[in-house]
Amino acid sequence: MPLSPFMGVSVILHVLVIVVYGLRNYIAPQYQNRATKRYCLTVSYCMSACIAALIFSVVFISGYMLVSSSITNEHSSIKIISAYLSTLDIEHMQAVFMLWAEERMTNASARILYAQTECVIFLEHIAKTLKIWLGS
Amino acid sequence: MKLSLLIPAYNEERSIEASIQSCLKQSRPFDQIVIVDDCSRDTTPDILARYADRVTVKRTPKNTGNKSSAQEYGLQFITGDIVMMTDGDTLLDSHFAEEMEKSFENPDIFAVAGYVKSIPHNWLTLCRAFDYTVGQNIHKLAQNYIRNIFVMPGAASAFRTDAFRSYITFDHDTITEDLDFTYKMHRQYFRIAYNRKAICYTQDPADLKNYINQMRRWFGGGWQNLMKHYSVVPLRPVRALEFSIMYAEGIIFSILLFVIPLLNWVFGLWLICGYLLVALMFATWAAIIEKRWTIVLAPFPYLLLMFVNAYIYLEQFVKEVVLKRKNLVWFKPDRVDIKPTQ
Repeated sequence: MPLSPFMGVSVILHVLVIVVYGLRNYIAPQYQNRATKRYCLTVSYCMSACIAALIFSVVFISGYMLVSSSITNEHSSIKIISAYLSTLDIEHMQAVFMLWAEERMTNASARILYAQTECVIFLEHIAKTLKIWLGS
Repeated sequence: MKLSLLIPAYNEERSIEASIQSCLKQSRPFDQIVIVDDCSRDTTPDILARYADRVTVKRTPKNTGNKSSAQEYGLQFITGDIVMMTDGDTLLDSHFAEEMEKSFENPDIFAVAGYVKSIPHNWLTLCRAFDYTVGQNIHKLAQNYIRNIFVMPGAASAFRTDAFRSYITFDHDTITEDLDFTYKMHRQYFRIAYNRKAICYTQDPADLKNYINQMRRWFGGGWQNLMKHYSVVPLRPVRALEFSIMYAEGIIFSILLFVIPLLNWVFGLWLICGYLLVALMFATWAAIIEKRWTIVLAPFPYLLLMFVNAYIYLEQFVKEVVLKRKNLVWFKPDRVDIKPTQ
Protein backbone atom coordinates (compact mmCIF):
# COMPACT_ATOMS: atom_id res chain seq x y z
CA MET A 1 0.00 0.00 0.00
CA PRO A 2 1.38 3.39 -0.94
CA LEU A 3 2.23 5.93 1.74
CA SER A 4 2.08 8.95 -0.51
CA PRO A 5 -0.23 9.54 -3.48
CA PHE A 6 2.73 10.60 -5.61
CA MET A 7 5.92 9.44 -7.15
CA GLY A 8 7.56 12.77 -6.52
CA VAL A 9 10.40 14.08 -4.42
CA SER A 10 10.30 10.98 -2.23
CA VAL A 11 11.29 8.77 -5.18
CA ILE A 12 14.37 10.89 -5.87
CA LEU A 13 15.39 10.89 -2.21
CA HIS A 14 14.92 7.11 -1.97
CA VAL A 15 17.05 6.63 -5.08
CA LEU A 16 19.72 8.70 -3.35
CA VAL A 17 19.50 6.43 -0.27
CA ILE A 18 19.87 3.35 -2.49
CA VAL A 19 22.94 4.81 -4.20
CA VAL A 20 24.61 5.87 -0.93
CA TYR A 21 23.86 2.63 0.93
CA GLY A 22 24.59 0.52 -2.13
CA LEU A 23 28.01 2.11 -2.47
CA ARG A 24 28.69 1.74 1.24
CA ASN A 25 27.68 -1.93 1.21
CA TYR A 26 29.92 -2.43 -1.83
CA ILE A 27 32.91 -0.71 -0.25
CA ALA A 28 32.40 -2.03 3.29
CA PRO A 29 30.21 -5.16 3.19
CA GLN A 30 30.64 -5.75 6.94
CA TYR A 31 28.08 -2.96 7.55
CA GLN A 32 25.31 -4.96 5.94
CA ASN A 33 24.68 -7.21 8.93
CA ARG A 34 25.39 -4.74 11.66
CA ALA A 35 22.90 -4.36 14.49
CA THR A 36 20.53 -1.41 14.15
CA LYS A 37 22.04 1.59 15.90
CA ARG A 38 19.91 2.82 18.79
CA TYR A 39 20.32 6.29 20.21
CA CYS A 40 19.11 7.18 23.68
CA LEU A 41 15.50 8.34 23.61
CA THR A 42 16.21 12.02 24.23
CA VAL A 43 18.76 12.22 21.42
CA SER A 44 16.47 10.28 19.14
CA TYR A 45 13.48 12.54 19.86
CA CYS A 46 15.54 15.72 19.38
CA MET A 47 17.05 14.53 16.11
CA SER A 48 13.64 13.37 14.86
CA ALA A 49 12.03 16.70 15.73
CA CYS A 50 14.79 18.64 13.95
CA ILE A 51 14.57 16.43 10.86
CA ALA A 52 10.76 16.67 10.72
CA ALA A 53 10.87 20.46 11.19
CA LEU A 54 13.50 20.81 8.46
CA ILE A 55 11.68 18.61 5.94
CA PHE A 56 8.27 20.18 6.55
CA SER A 57 9.77 23.70 6.40
CA VAL A 58 11.50 23.00 3.08
CA VAL A 59 8.38 21.45 1.54
CA PHE A 60 6.07 24.19 2.89
CA ILE A 61 8.35 26.99 1.72
CA SER A 62 8.71 25.37 -1.73
CA GLY A 63 4.93 25.08 -1.95
CA TYR A 64 4.44 28.69 -0.85
CA MET A 65 6.98 29.94 -3.39
CA LEU A 66 5.27 27.98 -6.14
CA VAL A 67 1.86 29.43 -5.21
CA SER A 68 3.28 32.98 -5.00
CA SER A 69 4.95 32.64 -8.40
CA SER A 70 1.72 31.26 -9.86
CA ILE A 71 -0.16 34.34 -8.68
CA THR A 72 2.38 36.97 -9.69
CA ASN A 73 3.30 35.39 -13.05
CA GLU A 74 1.89 36.97 -16.23
CA HIS A 75 -0.39 33.97 -16.79
CA SER A 76 -1.87 34.22 -13.31
CA SER A 77 -5.61 33.54 -13.28
CA ILE A 78 -6.08 36.44 -10.84
CA LYS A 79 -4.37 38.85 -13.24
CA ILE A 80 -6.48 37.55 -16.11
CA ILE A 81 -9.67 37.99 -14.05
CA SER A 82 -8.59 41.48 -12.95
CA ALA A 83 -7.86 42.46 -16.53
CA TYR A 84 -11.30 41.20 -17.57
CA LEU A 85 -12.99 43.01 -14.71
CA SER A 86 -11.32 46.29 -15.66
CA THR A 87 -12.93 46.07 -19.10
CA LEU A 88 -16.41 45.91 -17.60
CA ASP A 89 -18.44 49.00 -16.92
CA ILE A 90 -19.61 48.15 -13.42
CA GLU A 91 -21.09 51.59 -12.76
CA HIS A 92 -23.31 51.26 -15.80
CA MET A 93 -24.42 47.81 -14.72
CA GLN A 94 -25.20 49.08 -11.24
CA ALA A 95 -27.17 51.96 -12.74
CA VAL A 96 -29.23 49.51 -14.77
CA PHE A 97 -29.89 47.54 -11.65
CA MET A 98 -31.03 50.63 -9.78
CA LEU A 99 -33.35 51.44 -12.62
CA TRP A 100 -34.74 47.95 -12.43
CA ALA A 101 -35.20 48.22 -8.67
CA GLU A 102 -36.94 51.55 -8.96
CA GLU A 103 -39.27 50.51 -11.70
CA ARG A 104 -39.74 47.08 -10.14
CA MET A 105 -38.92 45.44 -13.39
CA THR A 106 -39.71 41.78 -13.37
CA ASN A 107 -38.46 40.68 -16.75
CA ALA A 108 -35.84 37.91 -16.85
CA SER A 109 -33.08 39.86 -18.62
CA ALA A 110 -32.94 42.46 -15.84
CA ARG A 111 -32.70 39.75 -13.21
CA ILE A 112 -29.82 38.11 -15.10
CA LEU A 113 -28.04 41.45 -15.39
CA TYR A 114 -28.48 41.95 -11.66
CA ALA A 115 -26.98 38.55 -10.90
CA GLN A 116 -24.05 39.23 -13.24
CA THR A 117 -23.37 42.55 -11.55
CA GLU A 118 -23.33 40.96 -8.14
CA CYS A 119 -20.95 38.21 -9.34
CA VAL A 120 -18.58 40.71 -10.89
CA ILE A 121 -18.48 42.84 -7.74
CA PHE A 122 -17.83 39.73 -5.67
CA LEU A 123 -15.01 38.52 -7.96
CA GLU A 124 -13.42 41.94 -7.96
CA HIS A 125 -13.52 41.96 -4.18
CA ILE A 126 -11.80 38.55 -4.03
CA ALA A 127 -9.13 39.63 -6.51
CA LYS A 128 -8.41 42.79 -4.51
CA THR A 129 -8.25 40.85 -1.23
CA LEU A 130 -5.84 38.29 -2.70
CA LYS A 131 -3.65 41.04 -4.10
CA ILE A 132 -3.48 42.76 -0.72
CA TRP A 133 -2.84 39.46 1.01
CA LEU A 134 0.02 38.54 -1.28
CA GLY A 135 1.36 42.05 -1.33
CA SER A 136 1.52 42.19 -5.12
CA MET B 1 12.13 -25.06 10.18
CA LYS B 2 8.42 -25.78 9.86
CA LEU B 3 6.52 -23.46 7.52
CA SER B 4 2.82 -22.68 7.84
CA LEU B 5 0.65 -20.66 5.51
CA LEU B 6 -2.45 -18.81 6.62
CA ILE B 7 -5.08 -17.68 4.08
CA PRO B 8 -8.26 -15.90 5.13
CA ALA B 9 -11.01 -16.28 2.53
CA TYR B 10 -14.45 -14.77 2.11
CA ASN B 11 -16.45 -15.26 -1.11
CA GLU B 12 -13.33 -16.11 -3.11
CA GLU B 13 -14.91 -18.61 -5.53
CA ARG B 14 -13.37 -16.86 -8.53
CA SER B 15 -9.79 -17.11 -7.36
CA ILE B 16 -9.34 -19.46 -4.40
CA GLU B 17 -8.72 -22.61 -6.46
CA ALA B 18 -5.87 -20.99 -8.40
CA SER B 19 -4.52 -19.64 -5.15
CA ILE B 20 -4.53 -23.07 -3.45
CA GLN B 21 -2.88 -24.71 -6.44
CA SER B 22 -0.10 -22.14 -6.42
CA CYS B 23 0.44 -22.88 -2.72
CA LEU B 24 0.65 -26.59 -3.40
CA LYS B 25 3.16 -26.23 -6.25
CA GLN B 26 6.04 -24.89 -4.17
CA SER B 27 9.69 -25.84 -4.64
CA ARG B 28 9.81 -26.08 -0.85
CA PRO B 29 6.36 -27.38 0.16
CA PHE B 30 4.55 -25.79 3.08
CA ASP B 31 4.30 -28.04 6.14
CA GLN B 32 0.85 -26.70 6.89
CA ILE B 33 -1.69 -24.68 4.93
CA VAL B 34 -4.58 -23.25 6.93
CA ILE B 35 -7.45 -21.61 5.08
CA VAL B 36 -9.98 -19.74 7.17
CA ASP B 37 -13.38 -19.60 5.54
CA ASP B 38 -15.06 -16.53 6.98
CA CYS B 39 -18.57 -18.01 6.40
CA SER B 40 -18.53 -17.46 2.65
CA ARG B 41 -21.92 -17.31 0.96
CA ASP B 42 -20.75 -18.46 -2.47
CA THR B 43 -19.21 -21.78 -3.58
CA THR B 44 -15.91 -21.18 -1.73
CA PRO B 45 -16.69 -23.89 0.92
CA ASP B 46 -17.33 -26.45 -1.87
CA ILE B 47 -14.04 -25.62 -3.56
CA LEU B 48 -12.19 -25.82 -0.22
CA ALA B 49 -13.81 -29.20 0.48
CA ARG B 50 -12.15 -30.61 -2.65
CA TYR B 51 -8.73 -29.80 -1.16
CA ALA B 52 -9.54 -30.93 2.37
CA ASP B 53 -6.93 -33.72 2.18
CA ARG B 54 -4.11 -31.28 1.43
CA VAL B 55 -5.07 -28.14 3.30
CA THR B 56 -6.60 -27.49 6.72
CA VAL B 57 -9.90 -25.70 6.31
CA LYS B 58 -11.35 -23.89 9.31
CA ARG B 59 -14.64 -22.04 9.30
CA THR B 60 -15.28 -19.13 11.65
CA PRO B 61 -18.37 -19.54 13.88
CA LYS B 62 -19.90 -16.48 12.22
CA ASN B 63 -18.80 -13.96 9.59
CA THR B 64 -16.23 -11.69 11.22
CA GLY B 65 -16.54 -8.99 8.57
CA ASN B 66 -12.84 -8.26 8.17
CA LYS B 67 -9.60 -9.92 7.25
CA SER B 68 -7.73 -9.41 10.51
CA SER B 69 -10.43 -11.19 12.54
CA ALA B 70 -10.26 -14.18 10.21
CA GLN B 71 -6.45 -14.16 10.53
CA GLU B 72 -6.72 -14.00 14.31
CA TYR B 73 -9.09 -16.97 14.27
CA GLY B 74 -6.77 -18.96 12.01
CA LEU B 75 -3.61 -18.21 13.99
CA GLN B 76 -4.66 -20.56 16.81
CA PHE B 77 -4.37 -23.52 14.41
CA ILE B 78 -0.87 -22.63 13.19
CA THR B 79 1.80 -25.12 14.26
CA GLY B 80 4.79 -23.95 12.20
CA ASP B 81 7.84 -21.99 13.36
CA ILE B 82 7.16 -19.48 10.63
CA VAL B 83 3.70 -18.27 9.65
CA MET B 84 3.27 -16.81 6.19
CA MET B 85 0.21 -14.79 5.35
CA THR B 86 -1.37 -14.24 1.98
CA ASP B 87 -4.83 -13.59 0.50
CA GLY B 88 -7.44 -15.72 -1.22
CA ASP B 89 -6.99 -13.77 -4.45
CA THR B 90 -3.22 -14.13 -4.53
CA LEU B 91 -1.04 -16.56 -6.44
CA LEU B 92 2.33 -17.51 -4.99
CA ASP B 93 5.41 -17.91 -7.11
CA SER B 94 6.73 -21.50 -6.96
CA HIS B 95 9.82 -20.34 -5.02
CA PHE B 96 7.91 -18.18 -2.54
CA ALA B 97 8.19 -20.51 0.49
CA GLU B 98 11.81 -21.38 -0.29
CA GLU B 99 12.83 -17.73 -0.49
CA MET B 100 10.99 -16.82 2.68
CA GLU B 101 12.68 -19.68 4.52
CA LYS B 102 16.11 -18.47 3.34
CA SER B 103 15.44 -15.03 4.80
CA PHE B 104 14.69 -16.52 8.20
CA GLU B 105 18.09 -18.26 8.35
CA ASN B 106 19.29 -15.04 9.96
CA PRO B 107 18.11 -15.39 13.59
CA ASP B 108 17.84 -11.59 13.98
CA ILE B 109 15.04 -11.42 11.43
CA PHE B 110 11.57 -11.31 12.96
CA ALA B 111 9.51 -10.76 9.82
CA VAL B 112 9.97 -10.78 6.06
CA ALA B 113 8.12 -8.73 3.49
CA GLY B 114 7.73 -10.30 0.06
CA TYR B 115 7.43 -8.79 -3.40
CA VAL B 116 3.94 -8.21 -4.79
CA LYS B 117 3.13 -8.11 -8.50
CA SER B 118 -0.19 -7.17 -10.03
CA ILE B 119 -2.00 -9.74 -12.19
CA PRO B 120 -2.52 -8.09 -15.61
CA HIS B 121 -6.13 -7.27 -16.40
CA ASN B 122 -6.70 -3.73 -17.69
CA TRP B 123 -5.37 -0.15 -17.57
CA LEU B 124 -5.99 0.12 -13.84
CA THR B 125 -3.94 -2.94 -13.02
CA LEU B 126 -1.28 -1.64 -15.41
CA CYS B 127 -1.06 1.56 -13.36
CA ARG B 128 -0.97 -0.49 -10.20
CA ALA B 129 1.86 -2.61 -11.62
CA PHE B 130 3.79 0.59 -12.28
CA ASP B 131 3.06 1.78 -8.75
CA TYR B 132 4.18 -1.54 -7.24
CA THR B 133 7.38 -1.63 -9.26
CA VAL B 134 8.48 1.84 -8.22
CA GLY B 135 7.24 1.38 -4.65
CA GLN B 136 9.00 -1.92 -4.12
CA ASN B 137 12.18 -1.38 -6.10
CA ILE B 138 12.86 2.14 -4.91
CA HIS B 139 10.93 3.03 -1.76
CA LYS B 140 10.94 -0.35 -0.09
CA LEU B 141 14.50 -1.17 -1.14
CA ALA B 142 15.71 2.11 0.38
CA GLN B 143 13.61 1.42 3.48
CA ASN B 144 15.27 -1.98 3.72
CA TYR B 145 18.71 -0.33 3.64
CA ILE B 146 17.82 2.04 6.44
CA ARG B 147 16.05 -0.80 8.33
CA ASN B 148 12.68 0.86 8.27
CA ILE B 149 10.24 -1.14 6.17
CA PHE B 150 7.11 0.97 6.21
CA VAL B 151 4.51 -1.72 5.63
CA MET B 152 4.39 -5.50 5.44
CA PRO B 153 2.29 -6.34 2.38
CA GLY B 154 -0.84 -8.21 3.42
CA ALA B 155 -0.47 -10.51 0.41
CA ALA B 156 3.13 -11.54 1.09
CA SER B 157 4.38 -11.44 4.65
CA ALA B 158 5.96 -13.93 7.02
CA PHE B 159 6.60 -13.86 10.77
CA ARG B 160 8.22 -15.97 13.48
CA THR B 161 5.11 -17.57 14.97
CA ASP B 162 6.06 -17.49 18.67
CA ALA B 163 7.18 -13.88 18.64
CA PHE B 164 4.13 -12.91 16.59
CA ARG B 165 1.84 -14.51 19.15
CA SER B 166 3.71 -12.81 21.99
CA TYR B 167 4.01 -9.29 20.68
CA ILE B 168 1.46 -8.69 17.94
CA THR B 169 -2.15 -8.27 18.89
CA PHE B 170 -5.17 -8.03 16.64
CA ASP B 171 -6.81 -4.82 17.80
CA HIS B 172 -9.35 -4.47 14.95
CA ASP B 173 -9.28 -0.70 15.46
CA THR B 174 -7.86 0.21 12.05
CA ILE B 175 -8.80 -0.88 8.54
CA THR B 176 -5.25 -1.75 7.46
CA GLU B 177 -4.12 -4.54 9.75
CA ASP B 178 -0.82 -5.08 7.88
CA LEU B 179 0.27 -1.52 8.66
CA ASP B 180 -0.83 -1.95 12.28
CA PHE B 181 1.38 -5.08 12.57
CA THR B 182 4.33 -3.22 11.08
CA TYR B 183 4.08 -0.30 13.51
CA LYS B 184 3.88 -2.77 16.40
CA MET B 185 7.06 -4.46 15.20
CA HIS B 186 8.82 -1.09 14.95
CA ARG B 187 7.78 -0.34 18.52
CA GLN B 188 9.59 -3.51 19.64
CA TYR B 189 12.65 -2.70 17.45
CA PHE B 190 12.11 -5.97 15.59
CA ARG B 191 14.09 -6.37 12.43
CA ILE B 192 12.05 -6.70 9.25
CA ALA B 193 13.73 -8.00 6.12
CA TYR B 194 12.66 -7.57 2.54
CA ASN B 195 13.09 -10.38 0.02
CA ARG B 196 12.42 -9.36 -3.58
CA LYS B 197 12.63 -12.99 -4.70
CA ALA B 198 9.65 -14.05 -2.57
CA ILE B 199 7.14 -13.12 -5.24
CA CYS B 200 3.37 -13.28 -5.25
CA TYR B 201 0.78 -12.14 -7.80
CA THR B 202 -2.22 -10.32 -6.47
CA GLN B 203 -5.50 -9.23 -7.98
CA ASP B 204 -6.02 -5.49 -7.99
CA PRO B 205 -9.30 -3.60 -8.50
CA ALA B 206 -10.49 -3.89 -12.08
CA ASP B 207 -12.73 -0.82 -12.19
CA LEU B 208 -12.55 2.76 -10.95
CA LYS B 209 -15.22 2.32 -8.27
CA ASN B 210 -13.34 -0.55 -6.64
CA TYR B 211 -10.06 1.29 -7.08
CA ILE B 212 -11.41 4.36 -5.29
CA ASN B 213 -12.80 2.25 -2.45
CA GLN B 214 -9.51 0.43 -2.03
CA MET B 215 -7.54 3.69 -2.00
CA ARG B 216 -9.96 5.05 0.60
CA ARG B 217 -9.23 2.04 2.78
CA TRP B 218 -5.47 2.29 2.27
CA PHE B 219 -5.13 6.03 2.83
CA GLY B 220 -7.75 6.06 5.59
CA GLY B 221 -5.98 3.15 7.29
CA GLY B 222 -2.67 4.96 6.84
CA TRP B 223 -3.95 8.01 8.73
CA GLN B 224 -5.61 5.83 11.40
CA ASN B 225 -2.37 4.00 12.05
CA LEU B 226 -0.30 7.17 12.07
CA MET B 227 -2.57 8.61 14.76
CA LYS B 228 -2.51 5.35 16.70
CA HIS B 229 1.26 4.82 16.54
CA TYR B 230 2.66 8.36 16.12
CA SER B 231 4.95 7.83 19.13
CA VAL B 232 6.83 5.14 17.18
CA VAL B 233 8.01 7.64 14.57
CA PRO B 234 10.62 9.55 16.62
CA LEU B 235 12.14 6.38 18.09
CA ARG B 236 14.58 6.39 15.18
CA PRO B 237 15.69 9.54 13.33
CA VAL B 238 15.72 7.74 9.96
CA ARG B 239 12.08 6.89 10.48
CA ALA B 240 11.29 10.53 11.19
CA LEU B 241 13.09 11.42 7.97
CA GLU B 242 11.16 8.83 5.97
CA PHE B 243 7.77 9.78 7.40
CA SER B 244 8.38 13.52 7.12
CA ILE B 245 9.28 13.26 3.45
CA MET B 246 6.35 11.02 2.62
CA TYR B 247 3.67 12.87 4.57
CA ALA B 248 4.92 16.38 3.76
CA GLU B 249 5.02 15.45 0.09
CA GLY B 250 1.61 13.79 0.28
CA ILE B 251 -0.17 16.73 1.89
CA ILE B 252 1.51 19.65 0.13
CA PHE B 253 1.60 18.21 -3.36
CA SER B 254 -1.98 16.94 -3.12
CA ILE B 255 -3.10 20.51 -2.44
CA LEU B 256 -0.80 22.03 -5.07
CA LEU B 257 -2.00 19.59 -7.69
CA PHE B 258 -5.45 21.20 -7.57
CA VAL B 259 -4.47 24.76 -6.67
CA ILE B 260 -1.68 25.44 -9.18
CA PRO B 261 -3.69 24.77 -12.39
CA LEU B 262 -6.45 27.02 -11.00
CA LEU B 263 -4.08 29.85 -10.15
CA ASN B 264 -1.94 29.63 -13.25
CA TRP B 265 -2.79 27.36 -16.16
CA VAL B 266 0.70 27.63 -17.66
CA PHE B 267 2.34 26.52 -14.40
CA GLY B 268 -0.23 23.73 -14.14
CA LEU B 269 0.58 22.56 -17.64
CA TRP B 270 4.33 22.61 -16.92
CA LEU B 271 3.77 20.71 -13.69
CA ILE B 272 1.79 17.99 -15.44
CA CYS B 273 4.19 17.77 -18.42
CA GLY B 274 7.20 17.60 -16.10
CA TYR B 275 5.54 14.91 -14.03
CA LEU B 276 4.66 12.95 -17.17
CA LEU B 277 8.25 13.13 -18.40
CA VAL B 278 9.67 11.85 -15.10
CA ALA B 279 6.96 9.16 -14.89
CA LEU B 280 7.77 8.01 -18.44
CA MET B 281 11.40 7.65 -17.48
CA PHE B 282 10.53 5.54 -14.44
CA ALA B 283 7.96 3.57 -16.47
CA THR B 284 10.59 2.61 -19.04
CA TRP B 285 12.85 1.42 -16.27
CA ALA B 286 9.93 -0.44 -14.61
CA ALA B 287 9.01 -2.12 -17.92
CA ILE B 288 12.58 -3.35 -18.34
CA ILE B 289 12.92 -4.83 -14.87
CA GLU B 290 9.42 -6.34 -14.87
CA LYS B 291 9.75 -7.49 -18.51
CA ARG B 292 6.25 -6.14 -19.07
CA TRP B 293 6.47 -3.65 -21.90
CA THR B 294 2.96 -2.23 -21.59
CA ILE B 295 4.09 -0.52 -18.37
CA VAL B 296 5.71 2.13 -20.61
CA LEU B 297 2.17 3.36 -21.35
CA ALA B 298 1.12 3.45 -17.69
CA PRO B 299 2.07 7.13 -16.99
CA PHE B 300 -0.71 8.40 -19.29
CA PRO B 301 -3.65 6.88 -17.38
CA TYR B 302 -1.60 7.33 -14.21
CA LEU B 303 -2.00 11.08 -14.62
CA LEU B 304 -5.74 10.69 -14.07
CA LEU B 305 -5.19 8.40 -11.10
CA MET B 306 -2.78 10.95 -9.64
CA PHE B 307 -5.66 13.41 -9.28
CA VAL B 308 -7.92 10.66 -7.90
CA ASN B 309 -5.23 9.60 -5.40
CA ALA B 310 -4.57 13.19 -4.32
CA TYR B 311 -8.27 13.84 -3.77
CA ILE B 312 -8.75 10.64 -1.74
CA TYR B 313 -5.60 11.34 0.28
CA LEU B 314 -6.90 14.77 1.31
CA GLU B 315 -10.44 13.47 1.82
CA GLN B 316 -9.22 10.76 4.18
CA PHE B 317 -6.98 13.25 5.99
CA VAL B 318 -10.00 15.44 6.67
CA LYS B 319 -12.22 12.50 7.68
CA GLU B 320 -9.75 10.61 9.85
CA VAL B 321 -7.50 13.33 11.28
CA VAL B 322 -9.55 16.53 11.29
CA LEU B 323 -13.08 15.23 11.83
CA LYS B 324 -11.94 12.02 13.58
CA ARG B 325 -14.64 9.97 11.87
CA LYS B 326 -13.03 6.61 12.26
CA ASN B 327 -14.15 4.31 9.48
CA LEU B 328 -13.76 0.64 10.38
CA VAL B 329 -15.92 -0.82 7.64
CA TRP B 330 -13.91 -3.37 5.71
CA PHE B 331 -13.97 -3.08 1.94
CA LYS B 332 -13.45 -6.10 -0.30
CA PRO B 333 -13.00 -5.35 -4.02
CA ASP B 334 -15.01 -7.29 -6.59
CA ARG B 335 -13.00 -10.20 -7.93
CA VAL B 336 -12.38 -11.29 -11.48
CA ASP B 337 -11.71 -14.88 -12.52
CA ILE B 338 -8.23 -16.27 -12.08
CA LYS B 339 -7.57 -19.49 -13.93
CA PRO B 340 -5.78 -22.19 -11.91
CA THR B 341 -3.13 -22.42 -14.64
CA GLN B 342 -2.36 -18.69 -14.60
